[in-house]
Amino acid sequence: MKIKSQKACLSLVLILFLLFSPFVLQAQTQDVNITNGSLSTDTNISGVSADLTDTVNGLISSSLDSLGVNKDTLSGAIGSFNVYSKKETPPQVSLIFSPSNPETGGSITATAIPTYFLNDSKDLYFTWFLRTKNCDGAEDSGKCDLNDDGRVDIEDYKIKAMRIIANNGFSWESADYSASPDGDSSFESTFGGNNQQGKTPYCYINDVGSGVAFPLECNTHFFPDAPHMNTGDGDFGRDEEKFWHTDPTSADTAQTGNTDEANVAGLGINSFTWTYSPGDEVGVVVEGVAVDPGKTEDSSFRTMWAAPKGMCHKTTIADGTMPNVSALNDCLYDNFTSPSENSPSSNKIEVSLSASPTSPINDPSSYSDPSLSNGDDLTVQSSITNATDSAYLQYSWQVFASDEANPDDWGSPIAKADLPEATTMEGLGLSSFKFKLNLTNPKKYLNVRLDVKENAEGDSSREGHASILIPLNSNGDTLSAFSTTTSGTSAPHISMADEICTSTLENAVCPIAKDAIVGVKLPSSDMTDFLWTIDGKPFTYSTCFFDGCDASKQSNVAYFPALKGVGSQYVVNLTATNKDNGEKINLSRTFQVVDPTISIASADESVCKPVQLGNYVDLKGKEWADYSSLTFNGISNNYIRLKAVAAGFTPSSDDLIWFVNGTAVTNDAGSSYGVDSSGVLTIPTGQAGSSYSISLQSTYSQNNPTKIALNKYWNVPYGQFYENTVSKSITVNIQDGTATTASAKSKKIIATIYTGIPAYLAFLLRIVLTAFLILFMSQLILMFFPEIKREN
Amino acid sequence: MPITTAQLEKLHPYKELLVTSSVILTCLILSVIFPATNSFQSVSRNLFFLIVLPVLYIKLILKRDPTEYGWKAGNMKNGLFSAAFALFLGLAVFYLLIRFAGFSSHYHINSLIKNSFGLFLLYELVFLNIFFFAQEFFFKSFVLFSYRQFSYWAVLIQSGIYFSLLVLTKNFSWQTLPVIFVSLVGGFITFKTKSFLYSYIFGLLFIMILDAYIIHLVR
Repeated sequence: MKIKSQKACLSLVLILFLLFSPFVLQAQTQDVNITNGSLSTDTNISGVSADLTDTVNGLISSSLDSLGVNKDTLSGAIGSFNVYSKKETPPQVSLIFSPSNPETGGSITATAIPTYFLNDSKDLYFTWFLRTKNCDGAEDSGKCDLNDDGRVDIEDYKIKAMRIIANNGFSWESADYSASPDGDSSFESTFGGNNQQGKTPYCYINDVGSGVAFPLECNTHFFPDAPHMNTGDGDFGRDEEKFWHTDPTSADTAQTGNTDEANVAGLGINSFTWTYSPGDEVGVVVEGVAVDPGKTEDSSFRTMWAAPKGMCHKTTIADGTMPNVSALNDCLYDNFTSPSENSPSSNKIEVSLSASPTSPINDPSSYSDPSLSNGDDLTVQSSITNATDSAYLQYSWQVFASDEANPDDWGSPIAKADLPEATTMEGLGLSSFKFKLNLTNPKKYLNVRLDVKENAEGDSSREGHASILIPLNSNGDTLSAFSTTTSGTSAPHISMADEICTSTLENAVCPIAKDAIVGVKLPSSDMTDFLWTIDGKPFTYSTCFFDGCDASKQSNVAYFPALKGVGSQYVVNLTATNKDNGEKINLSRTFQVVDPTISIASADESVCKPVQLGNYVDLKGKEWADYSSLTFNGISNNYIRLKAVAAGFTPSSDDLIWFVNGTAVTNDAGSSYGVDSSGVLTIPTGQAGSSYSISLQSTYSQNNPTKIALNKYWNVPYGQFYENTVSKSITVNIQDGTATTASAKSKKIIATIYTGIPAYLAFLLRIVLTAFLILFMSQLILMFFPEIKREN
Repeated sequence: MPITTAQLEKLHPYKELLVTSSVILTCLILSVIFPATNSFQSVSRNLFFLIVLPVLYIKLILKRDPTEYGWKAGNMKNGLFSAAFALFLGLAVFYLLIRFAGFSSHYHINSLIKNSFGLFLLYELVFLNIFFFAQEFFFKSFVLFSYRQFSYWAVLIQSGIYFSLLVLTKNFSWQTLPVIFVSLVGGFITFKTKSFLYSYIFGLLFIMILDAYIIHLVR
């Protein structure tokens, strides 16, 4: 039992030895390094004999086994612990620029963000240095050699930056530096930051590769100095005031809350603002104490420096000797940063695209004039947030098409000629791109891509790219609009009558009269899951009042009344899903509430037609005949037929009252005029020279079932229904058509010939002269050859 | 650098060819770009530069007999047979194009002549005929026979010039496919019969029949 107890004690001692011996060895190794700069791993156990080592190892192993300790795990944990000190992160600093893409002559601010320093930012020393393009390695000592030491080096770059900071825009040229400065502008620096007074400085530099912090001789800071003077020495006289361009009458020219000398030392100056010119590079080195306190037996911490791209690697320090801080000055050449380098995105133009409408409709039909197509006008708008001058951006638009939303290859872009009414695709300032969706062979998706390029100053250029995927609905479906009829009074039933707004113009905006009930329908039967909305709100019906109505869900038809004021618009939208392929469609139709109007048109233009007043030319240069709406010409001894054309409503033939020369037309026996069942008026015409005054009148109002329906289904109060009488009058002048036409035609031809003759004679003269010239020249050339031959 | 006497001497055998080529090119360019403000002037321009000027050049400058340029009946039997064969071939080719390549949907025919047989005849026999004759005369007579020293290559040269003209004036399309066919096949007929008459007859008949057939299809 006693032997067992002794064995356990011995094992415990050995475990402790095993646990702590690596730290002892490590400490010894580090001590060696500190003193002679080598990484020797000599230990004190080399004298232990091999036998003893084996015995001890055996005991330890058996002890660990008896305690259930996994030796490999223990060994790994201890290994990690051994190198822990080498894994510590040294103080660091990063730079950010604002703005990231500065303009020449504009103000730019570099802000340093220090990390792993124990000090507050206000106690750190920020030594900034600025290298302009013209002073990049220049030999010119006049402009760049600010300390007048005969060379342009890092000290001059520091002076340039810190002078800007300390000066802060003060007009030093007119300042009087002959007298002693007012106030105390001095500042005495301490190693490791302003809050480290009274502590013994220990300077270190971290070797990034090995993770080892090497000691340095604390001989100086990185502060820039005026010639023959030191910054941070507690003395800031008029010569230094003059050198640093500070105000001799102010102790704090830069108004940072610190003295001028502290400002030159960069105390708490974590940002630097200067006027940017292309090629400027800036850097900063920050002095403070590291988070890792070190191993000194006093209150001091390790003074360390950080620069944006790291301080010097160990290999740049002379081996075998303790380097001093000033030897690291050359490290700062590696720490220049340009705004564009530090902000990669500043070289990129941020582009975003938006399309309107988002689910456009393509009309695959072929038209001679694409403007007649029912396809949407697709507009893609770009938005660029970081352009220097958006007016000088070079835009290049491309449109691709595919049946897949995300194909491997979008293939070749669609040519501009194949994009109807496409706006210019390449050039300056083309921030939006528009074309008509009248693609005859459409794919399911369009991909509109924009490449933007901005030629920045110098040789550099900035680019940005964006693309937008636009699902295309090309099934050719459109919403059809119908007038309605209402029947019944207790529960009025509404059904669709005639299709309205079928002309191209009305297809864009369909006019509907006030209080009219309009039916809209998707003719296709391949669709399901209908969602009708009007002005963004879903259609709802309290009860079903039309065929195909399902109280639980919407169908392919919908009804709405025009209750808004005249001039207002309704936008009816339908979303549905194709039963076969699941493809969604989005259709819309715009309606405008109008005053109902009625006009008279000829039902047989070979006998009677409106007088042509002239021609007008539209914006595309196309000529259109301009016909009178008041005066018609008719042919004598014939029958003219006139019909009513109503806008906004569809009157029945019974609602139309025709008047000829002030007398209402009836179909009574004996009347020479007649109105047929479709409301067309027929008048036998007399001799040439006579004329007829014809009027048409109709009353626009809803019938009783419609009024009941409006009240019952859409809560229109009784007594607020819209009624209006509409009328139109024309004059028909009867002419001897054949004679008149023939005479006019012959006169026209004669007039054309007469006016065309001088121009044609001039043309012939030109052409004959040209021909003569060609013949003469050819003769001349042919004659030329024989002459040469004769000479020979 | 001025042309030396030796160089001129070297060019001498080709002098007529060079000058004629220049005249051909000039006539072609002027028939396209000579300013004309209305269709009447356009017709005059074409007739002048494609017929009158070449005739004057042949008669006054080259002092040649027009029969050397295909202005003769030639071998009538041979000519009519060739024209008939070419017509059959052309109609067969275009029937296949209509049937399998959708040619009729690309070939535009004025709606006026679609609906009126009288206007169709007026268009084909007067308006089309004027331009077609001017074109046939210029290419089959003047151009082709100016290059007759190159044997059958002359046919390809005149077709090439015509094709280039269509491409340069951006008129090369389905619409001009029949006349390109006529240009090539008619060229061989002209060269073989030494008369442009049969090529002209073949071309006019071919285009008329083709137009009539397509009108029949689309109506």
